[in-house]
Amino acid sequence: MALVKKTVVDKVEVVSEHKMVQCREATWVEDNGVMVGGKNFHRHVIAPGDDTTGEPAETIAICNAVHTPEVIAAYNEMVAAQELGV
Amino acid sequence: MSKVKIQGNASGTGVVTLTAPNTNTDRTITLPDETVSLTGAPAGLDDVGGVARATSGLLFNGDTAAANALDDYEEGTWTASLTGNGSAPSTAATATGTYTKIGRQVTVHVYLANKNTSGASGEMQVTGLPFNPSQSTTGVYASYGLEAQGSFCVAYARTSGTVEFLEMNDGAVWGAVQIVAGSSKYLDLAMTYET
Repeated sequence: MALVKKTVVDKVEVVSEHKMVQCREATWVEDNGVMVGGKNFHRHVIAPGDDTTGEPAETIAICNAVHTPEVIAAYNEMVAAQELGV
Repeated sequence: MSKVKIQGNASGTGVVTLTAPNTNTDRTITLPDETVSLTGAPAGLDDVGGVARATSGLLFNGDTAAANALDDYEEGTWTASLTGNGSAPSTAATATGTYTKIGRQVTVHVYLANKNTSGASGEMQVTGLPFNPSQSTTGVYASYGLEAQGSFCVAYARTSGTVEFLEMNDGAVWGAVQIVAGSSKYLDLAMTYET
């Protein structure tokens, strides 16, 4: 019997006009290639301009594609505007 | 007189098996007056290891509007970071929270216990939400060592993906709760927002 723990980013979604990148990391255990139990999910969101160090290459590629300087500037404008008012 | 007909597939080798129930009571299958199939999951459902999986969502009570279909359910965890918008704590103050997503509605909870926020400054924030809010939303929180001076405070999720904390003072505009730097800080946050 060989139990193996596997973790992969199994879903990456680009949402909203500000191109927020939502990432889902799935973790599960396999016994000789057969999944035991179910998957556990852990999520995070990458905003334009966020540091992508440590992210999988595919995720970085997506961020690089959608987080253009214009998108980053627009996002920063929104954040600044939200900090000024409610 | 009715007949029972069992016909095999000419190109197949499958076996039809009828198994007696594990009881001394007779069991009966009554067929309707039409052709039916007893095999496979109902249309729109998959059998995944004994769990029914709706292929395109669920509608209730005769509804036909696709917009009303319950098309998503997910449970998981997220990493919350307690920080300030001026500067972050010298050592990251994080905790693992939980989320449940039902359709477009996301409910999150996290308990940041005994955190050290030394080095942090500015408006208090929690970052790391599992889904980005589509609109600003209020939530509730309790804290120890992070109290604001306002009469009433709420958590406030922004569309930027950051949770801020607002204090309401009588007759004044809302203010932002400032983070208190130091050790032994506690914050329990729960909120529901839409994606």
